[in-house]
Amino acid sequence: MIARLIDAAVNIAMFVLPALLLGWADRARPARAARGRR
Amino acid sequence: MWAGHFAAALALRPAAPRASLQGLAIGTGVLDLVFGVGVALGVEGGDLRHFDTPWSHSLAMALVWSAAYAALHRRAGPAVMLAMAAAVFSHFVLDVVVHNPDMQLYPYSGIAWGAGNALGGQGGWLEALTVALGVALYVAWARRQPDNRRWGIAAGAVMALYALEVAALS
Repeated sequence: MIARLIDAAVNIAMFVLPALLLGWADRARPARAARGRR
Repeated sequence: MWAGHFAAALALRPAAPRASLQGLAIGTGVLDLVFGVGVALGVEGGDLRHFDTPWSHSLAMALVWSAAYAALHRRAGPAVMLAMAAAVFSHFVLDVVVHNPDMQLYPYSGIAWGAGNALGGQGGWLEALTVALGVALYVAWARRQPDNRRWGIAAGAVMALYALEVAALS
């Protein structure tokens, strides 16, 4: 039972963690020029 | 296949500028997330040679999960919903290419597909091609955007995941 839960958690983490990283990386930030004008 | 699914999310990103890459990437993993739940419940399992995935990866259920995931994004509009559904369903398409014939038509159907056996060891090359194509499409789009998104990290991460996958399987 515990082995099955660990298996399941690993399966889920293998998709969720990289997706969070990709989401963070792809989030648009203001362009450098626009930031400089502030 | 693992990294190839994230590459599908990268490839879909330019087609739906209002969809988040995070949402697309989770979408490409929905079938495996359901598989994880199935494993915990003891109704799914298997190994790399043959997966037992009636409720997560069969064609009928892949369509159901695609529609359900799209419905979660209904507030974002039809274009984002379509992209999210495509992200989920891309998992079925890519898995049919590399799996042995264990991708069922519907749960417990006797009809199942998978080109893995027929392709021999060539599935890895097809995944490499998927990664290369996804990264190329995403980078070409992201570089044209008028902001400073960290596209190099996103593209590099998917290539690193592929390298990790190859290392783990060899």
